Amino acid sequence: MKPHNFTPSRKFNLSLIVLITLNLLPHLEDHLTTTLIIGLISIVWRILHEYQKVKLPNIILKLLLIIGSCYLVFFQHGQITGAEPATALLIAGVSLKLIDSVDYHDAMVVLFLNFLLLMSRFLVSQSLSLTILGILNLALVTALLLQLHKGKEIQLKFLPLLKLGFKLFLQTAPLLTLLFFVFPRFSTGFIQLNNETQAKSGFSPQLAPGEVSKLIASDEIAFRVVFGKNVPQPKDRYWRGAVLSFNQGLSWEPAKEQTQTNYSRQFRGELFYEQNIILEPNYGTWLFALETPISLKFKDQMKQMQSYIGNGRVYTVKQNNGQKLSYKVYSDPMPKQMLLEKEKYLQIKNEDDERLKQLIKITLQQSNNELDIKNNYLDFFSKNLKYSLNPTPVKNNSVSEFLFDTKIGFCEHLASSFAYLLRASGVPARIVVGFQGGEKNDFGEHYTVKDKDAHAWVEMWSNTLDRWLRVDPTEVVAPLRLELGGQMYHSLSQDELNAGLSQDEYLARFKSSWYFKVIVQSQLAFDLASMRWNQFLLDFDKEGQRQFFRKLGLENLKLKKLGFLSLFALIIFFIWLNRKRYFYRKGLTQQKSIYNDLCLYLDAHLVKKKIYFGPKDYFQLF
Amino acid sequence: MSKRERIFIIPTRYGILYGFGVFITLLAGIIYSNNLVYLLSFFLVAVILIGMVQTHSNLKGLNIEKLQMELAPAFSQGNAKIWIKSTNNEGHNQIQINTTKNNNAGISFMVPNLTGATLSIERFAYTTQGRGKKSVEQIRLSTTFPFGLFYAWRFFDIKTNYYVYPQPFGNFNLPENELLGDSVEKIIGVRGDDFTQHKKYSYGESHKHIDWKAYARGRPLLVKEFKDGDNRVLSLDIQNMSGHIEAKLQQLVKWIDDCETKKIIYSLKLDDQFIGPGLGQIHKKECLKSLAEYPNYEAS
Repeated sequence: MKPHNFTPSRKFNLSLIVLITLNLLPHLEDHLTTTLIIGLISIVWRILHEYQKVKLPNIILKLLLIIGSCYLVFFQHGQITGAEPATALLIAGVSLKLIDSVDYHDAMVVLFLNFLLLMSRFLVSQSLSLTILGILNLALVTALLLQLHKGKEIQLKFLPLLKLGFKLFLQTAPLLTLLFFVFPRFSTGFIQLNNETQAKSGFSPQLAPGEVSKLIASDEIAFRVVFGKNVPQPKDRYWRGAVLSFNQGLSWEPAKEQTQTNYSRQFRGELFYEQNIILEPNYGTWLFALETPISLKFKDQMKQMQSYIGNGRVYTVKQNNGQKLSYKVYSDPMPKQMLLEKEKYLQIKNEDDERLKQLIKITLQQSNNELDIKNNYLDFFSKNLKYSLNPTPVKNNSVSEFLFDTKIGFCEHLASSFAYLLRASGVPARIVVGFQGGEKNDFGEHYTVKDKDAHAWVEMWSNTLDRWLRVDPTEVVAPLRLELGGQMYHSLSQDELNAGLSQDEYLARFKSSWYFKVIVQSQLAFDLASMRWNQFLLDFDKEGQRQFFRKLGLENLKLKKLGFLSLFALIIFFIWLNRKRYFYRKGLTQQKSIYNDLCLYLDAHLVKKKIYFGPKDYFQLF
Repeated sequence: MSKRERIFIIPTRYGILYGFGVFITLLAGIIYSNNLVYLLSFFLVAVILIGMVQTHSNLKGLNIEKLQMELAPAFSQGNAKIWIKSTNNEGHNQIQINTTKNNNAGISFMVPNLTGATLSIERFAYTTQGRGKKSVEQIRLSTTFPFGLFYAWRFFDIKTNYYVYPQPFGNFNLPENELLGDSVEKIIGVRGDDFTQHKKYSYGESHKHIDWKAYARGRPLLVKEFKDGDNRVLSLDIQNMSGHIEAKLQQLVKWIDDCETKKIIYSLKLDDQFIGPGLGQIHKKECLKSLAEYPNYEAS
């Protein structure tokens, strides 16, 4: 049944290499070593084989390569089973297949594996750029499949091949659209992808000096948010992530605590901020929200059941399976609160330092209440400390060393030491880690919060106000950080910061730079498209589908009906593919029968029609 | 649609493998509620459907008008032509043509592409087995174009006879003692086919045979002299030969080939059948056909 023994041409093989390279590119993010080592070896070897006639490896070398890559995967992941190692093995397999001899069978297998490789990437990321890359990929795979069966004589160059692929891709568009909307969605949050990538970037659940500044270097988007009616001032956009209340000197950890399930409930309030947030994967299990979140809702009921409220009103999801999360939060800036477990917020790791004791003693003498204490410490901070992205390292995690010796710190140092001082003075305090700020996308409605906005600040209990009060020591040490916002502030150089310009001057300077004009603007435009696409993909789950059909006026579409509709979509697509056969055939046969009749008549009466005559040849005889 | 116009279609083993991949993708989409993976699996499904329709229509609108198979020696290859008419505007790609039922006709070739809505003639080589008068009853057209996921085939009844003659083989030289007629070469002057020599021109000879080119080179007037080939007739008779019947037939074919190259007129006598003296392709074909059809007594 094998149709032919077609050995792929060089053009085909080179296109295959391009395809595999394209497919390996997105995997560089999560599987850098595997992809780089095995992929590069295979691709270079194959290209050398095509151009320099370097021999492909023999069976022993092949076996060694296979064992080597298995070992590499094992070495990287510590195991050989699970989703991550499986993806790594898939990458290795597809790459190594390149330096296996490529005949018809191999070519087919490589093309099929490419689909799986793409799928494994889609499971981790659903970004717009990956979607575009995926479309490019699918177009190429399909075109190559076609080329493989067209025979040796008709081999296209790369660009016509790509064009052909896109033509085929567009042919599938009607079915894609139809099936996308009608295929029944299930609620299956209970099966989790065990993903080890989550801890790789984003926040770690503790605050040691240097943790936040690591994030500042990256230009990644943390989450996007669309506000409801009320939009808070840029200075008040404090996105709370985790509350840390266990002190260990200059570093803090979350305290052990009891969490309660976040049951979905209705929220009614006067002044509140409604936020629709799409959180990028890899930000741990924290669900960021403006202070103070009152109600957090997922569209997906399963996810709702897996989200929890922790102490200090922070929301977490049980397990972040490496997917984007889309949720809605209501935050009340002036909530009614109570102080529970007061001792927990007074615990400190004692430091035996005379200067520290002196400072606390003097401050306590000068103050009447906790608000005075706070103001006095802020005063001390603004006079003595400096803000820097590259602070002098502090030995032994010591608060006193930072306050009196190095004196240069980042927001995490400032917040840590400030909360320490408050606790040492008998004021309950805690650290909050999250983001501060967010830039509005000029093209759209949404705000983008990036890693550059990462921040840490303090919350203290005020007896006078009877609620938790936010205190941000960075505000007094480096006011520009808050005025300009993290994204702009952290892209300025140290010299520019030292120039001491006003907020407006910095803004004008920033907006006139080519960086802003070209990169920021195009980033914003792409970000908008990305955001829309994400929102669309994430929201169209079981609930989203129900709402979609409700809008169309179709209530109560059960699973059975949707399944039936999907089948119907397939049939419609099938008919559409056969449209020429069903709809145009009649017209053609009519013309043809007239022509045949004419030919018969002329045949009998004038000139004999030879079998190889086309209509033109025939009528030239007259 | 009659039974003969029916196009059959089944998935290939790659099609089954692909289907399995689609299933995995769809399952992953459902398990992880990942819309992008859903889209991927829908795309793969669409490719299946497109492939199915295209594979089917690749065979649609085809008709085999005529099959012509030339004489060929046994256990070797022969030339053949096939007239394929297409009424499909799209054209056709990678169509495999095979014989069915009788295995000894080895038609197996691939038509890389056919222009739509025309009649095209495809030349190909077929392999032969033993000698004899053979016939093709039916041929099968099959394809896996465009994606190799489906295999479609259909049958055409086309009764065509063809002859396979024995392979030329033998150790004996031409039996020149069997020559009939004048064995002496005679000069037949200005008539005849083969140029032999120049002769001095003598008055009264036709001007047509003067070698004007030689005269232009400064030589005297010369007349070209021709002679006819051997006028002898070689009579090949199977009864004058001894040995195994197939060996005799093979020797005869060898001799016929030799006669053709040496331009010796020959006649063939097979038991009661006599093919009169002659020379050239038509005569040779007639002889070879009768050799192909010669009954195999020892087998029966």
